[in-house]
Amino acid sequence: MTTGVTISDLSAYPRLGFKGRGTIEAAKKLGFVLDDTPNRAFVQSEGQICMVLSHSEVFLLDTNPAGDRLSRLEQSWRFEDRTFSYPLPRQHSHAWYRLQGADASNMLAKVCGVDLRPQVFANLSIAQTSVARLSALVLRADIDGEVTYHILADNSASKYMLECLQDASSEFNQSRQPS
Amino acid sequence: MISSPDRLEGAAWGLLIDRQSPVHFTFNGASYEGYKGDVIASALVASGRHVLSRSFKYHRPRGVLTMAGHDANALVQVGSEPNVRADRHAIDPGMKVNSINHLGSLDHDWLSVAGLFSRFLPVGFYYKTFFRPRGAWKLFERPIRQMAGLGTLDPKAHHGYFDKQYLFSDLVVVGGGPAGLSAAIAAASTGAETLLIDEWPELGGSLLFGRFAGSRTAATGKRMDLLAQAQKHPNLRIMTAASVSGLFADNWLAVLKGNRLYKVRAKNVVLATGAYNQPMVFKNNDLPGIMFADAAQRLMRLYGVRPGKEVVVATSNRFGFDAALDLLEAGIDVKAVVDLGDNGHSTEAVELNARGVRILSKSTIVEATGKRRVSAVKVARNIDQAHPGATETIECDCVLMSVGYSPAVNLACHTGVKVKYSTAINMHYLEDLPSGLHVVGSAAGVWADALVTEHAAQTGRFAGFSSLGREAGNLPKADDTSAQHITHAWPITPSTKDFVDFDEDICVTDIRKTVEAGYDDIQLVKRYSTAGLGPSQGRHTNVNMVRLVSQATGRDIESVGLTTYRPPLFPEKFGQLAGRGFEPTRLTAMHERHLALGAQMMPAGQWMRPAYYGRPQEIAEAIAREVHYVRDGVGIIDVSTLGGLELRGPDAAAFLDRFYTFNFLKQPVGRTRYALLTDEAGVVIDDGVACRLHDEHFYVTATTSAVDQVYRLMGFWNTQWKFNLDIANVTSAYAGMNLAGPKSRAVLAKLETDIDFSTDAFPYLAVRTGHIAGIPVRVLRVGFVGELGYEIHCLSRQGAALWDILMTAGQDFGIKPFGVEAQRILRLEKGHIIVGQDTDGLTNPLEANMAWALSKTKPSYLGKRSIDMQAAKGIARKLVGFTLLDDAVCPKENHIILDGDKIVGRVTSVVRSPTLNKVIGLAYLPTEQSAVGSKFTIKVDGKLIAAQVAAAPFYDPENKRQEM
Repeated sequence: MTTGVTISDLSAYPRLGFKGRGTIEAAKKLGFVLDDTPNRAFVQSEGQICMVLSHSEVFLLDTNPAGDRLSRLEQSWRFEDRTFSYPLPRQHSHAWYRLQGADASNMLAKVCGVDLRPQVFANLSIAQTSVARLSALVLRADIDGEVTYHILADNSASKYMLECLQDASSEFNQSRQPS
Repeated sequence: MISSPDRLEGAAWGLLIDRQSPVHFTFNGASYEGYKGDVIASALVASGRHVLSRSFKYHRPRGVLTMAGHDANALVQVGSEPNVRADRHAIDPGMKVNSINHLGSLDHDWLSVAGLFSRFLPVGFYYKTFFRPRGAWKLFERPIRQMAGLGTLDPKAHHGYFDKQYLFSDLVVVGGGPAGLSAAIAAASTGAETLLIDEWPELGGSLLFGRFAGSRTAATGKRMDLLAQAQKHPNLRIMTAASVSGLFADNWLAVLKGNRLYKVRAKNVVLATGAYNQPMVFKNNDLPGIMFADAAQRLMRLYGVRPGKEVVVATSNRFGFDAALDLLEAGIDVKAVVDLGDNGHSTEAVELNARGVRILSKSTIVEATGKRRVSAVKVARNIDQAHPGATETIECDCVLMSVGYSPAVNLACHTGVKVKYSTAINMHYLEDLPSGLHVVGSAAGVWADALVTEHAAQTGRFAGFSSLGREAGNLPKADDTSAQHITHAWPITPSTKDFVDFDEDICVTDIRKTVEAGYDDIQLVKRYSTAGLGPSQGRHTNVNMVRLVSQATGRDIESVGLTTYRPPLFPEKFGQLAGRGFEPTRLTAMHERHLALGAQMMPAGQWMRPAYYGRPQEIAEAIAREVHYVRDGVGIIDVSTLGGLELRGPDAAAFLDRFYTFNFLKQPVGRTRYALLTDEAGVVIDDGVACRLHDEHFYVTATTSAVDQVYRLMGFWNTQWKFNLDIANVTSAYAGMNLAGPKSRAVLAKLETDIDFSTDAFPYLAVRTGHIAGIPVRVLRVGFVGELGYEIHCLSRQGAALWDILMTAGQDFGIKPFGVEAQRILRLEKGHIIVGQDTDGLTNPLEANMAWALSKTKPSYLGKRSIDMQAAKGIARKLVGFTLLDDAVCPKENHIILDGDKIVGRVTSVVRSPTLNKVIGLAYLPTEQSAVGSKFTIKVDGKLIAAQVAAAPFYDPENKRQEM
């Protein structure tokens, strides 16, 4: 585990949402492995992460910047399929930051009121909460055993969010590594 | 340079200081030397300065009292920071410290003359004076304001960096003395995550300076043993130099450490907060040199400072005798131990006697003398007899008091726990603690050293298991018979200048006169006399005040009660409360473009928008130029901040039809429709445009500030209506720009696109989807600014690129960006309202001339019933356009409209139109005065301006330009 906190901006990575009363079933038909458990994330065999936000909404992240599975899904979607699950352009609505390092949970405690300590906030848990007074999704999805948090928040406030995260992490000898 | 003559040498003294590291600072301009680890007060006392401040009312000299930051005597100003506790604030090199609340020097305070007039300043005098005769307050106000207040605020003080942090723990122990350490170690040993918080930089509490089982060596050993266990425990986190200032519901603790406020959550809280020493009350009991016994022990043990050379100890418990032994160990002359009880047979008294110290049992101090420091005390003997013996005068330069304690139960009281008084121990105690809150040590009435650690460990274990949800057994009881020998029942010898409250200079007579005046309830006594209202918050006042009220009212002391303890327990800085300000700022995809074009940005809710482009010095010219670009050529404005909502599903049209006032069921695909939203009371709350992109898909815009509210309302209503559709707020996902002006179509014609922009193919109020220069877009033909215009929406990450493409294509047509200010003028020329500016919290659509936007055919929409009732009843006011008879002066928004001296309306929007070259506006008028041509009067900066109702739109009333 790295010391301090490392902030990575993954906003250029693919992501897509689906929302609507048929979303869970539709996602399963599309080949995603998930169950109807809100605030849980499911890692897919192709590397995507499927975040189940509610019984009618999922948020898909692709950890491969060149991955095209999500864009293919979006382009092939049609009303006529009557899935009652509607795509949302999450790459445009949400910025994506990844936090790693020994002090990541301590740093998050400066901007978020949810107990995100690793021993409490299990791997693949999701908190739909407020980070630095901005509505945000906090996902824990560890990478190679290292505790890793992902923050997804309003894209229009991405500059503000990054400033807040950098400020909060500065005391932990944070070094930013843009990806 | 003033050196430190009153230092004690040897390893037993000065635990916190580094004698190898001298630190120089100034006090009232004079240079002083202390050591690293010293606090201001210890360094000053070590240098022979005992007067630290002047009292609030009589400006009497005051010195060290607690050496724990619990009193107001030690308040000083450090640089630009007032209200600094000199007995807790460490010295730094070059620090500038000043005393407060005096006129002239600290040692010769001219305001001390107030003491001579004390009989003219009786308790509650400020409730009865200064307001008669009429106008007298003006005479008194200036000198009173000059005298009032402690310290000064520097408006130019440097902004500090403060922030906040959440902390979570299974269990929190407050207080790092023997009880707290024992409880924390035991709790952590159960497996519970435990957080131990202590206000001092070093753990140990009374073990740092006091004795354990009568032995200083045992105290040191006990401390080292507990520290070793605590520091190596993996489940125990230690936070020192941190103050818990409040305990709130569900075990939420406010913890101050440096410039940070920690917000701590725990399943269980154990309070090991100790007890506050209580003063004796006698004549001149406030003279510098008179302090609590543990204050002197802190001076000696923590800072290596001699509190005096000739000391009298007044006590009624073992702690006073312990302090006398410490004085002897330090080589200080103990002139006498004045024993308010009869403890001459105790082990400590026997040892003191053997070392030549006089023990004056059944005696008390009745008076202290001295000018700026105590020089002698008068001691009365045989106080238990009906006729006490003669007094004896003992010369001394220091008096230590240890006649009783009050348990520090403030934090428990913050949660609503009741406090009762016990005549068995002459102290208060907590009754009926809630689940999850525990108290140990002297705060729980446990005083015997062996019992303290045993009871605390048992309680910590219980709390630890409770936190883990495991069987915890029975909660141990706090029974300690030795508590009966700690606090004297009546350490009060009434006289004059016999202070019950040092903060507010309240004497025994003041309490008695308060009761005589009819304020005999303890809460009223506090408020009328102000006893307990000062910075000490009654820590050293309440118990003696309760005793005096009991005596004065004849009620037994248990029934007198106690005033309410409220947070904060310790002083909190505004900076700590404010913390690091989180103020989200939202930027559009084109933000950097605006800055590059010289935009002056303005906030619009959380968003930043261009107000206008140009220099602030030529704001009017810049805005007028932008208006002309749109009217005569082509302009472009960033409208990304408009709300965007996607409604998709088979019932999308049915939902909109019930939600908004217009008809949407039969709206054709490819058409837009104005969407007016009213609440259940029929009040206009938002408007936008609904674009039908598919039979089952609407893209709806909302105003920048109201989109979140509209989205919430949509979700709320669909939960009840259960339509089959999905609603999503996509505001941030889309960028938007309005290309407006007679040449806008020509600009688009230059671009590669699959959309036919011709008038016939793409008429006014149509919506099209397609591509412009390869970028997927949604294009709306709308007319907010009253010209041919295309509102183009694209995904936000493509917004800047599309902006650049349009700006480049528009170069040949003189395209310029325009801002919010120009848009406001353009829309007002066209007579369009802005919801929230031209409407208020009561405006219904009929008043705003929007009956055209109300469906007459559908059975229901939000607010319909209220609007129908309003229509039947008739409306009293109407929004009208107006112009001025004389344009010399331009009114401002919200200027009032007068009919005689009666206010009958207000201006909602008004501008000097660059297009029409006259003042135009919108205003509410009584319905009977709303006909075109009616004249009315606007009050503008005190002058009356004539105006008349005019037809709106003011510009292009036939709508030819926007529909071209």
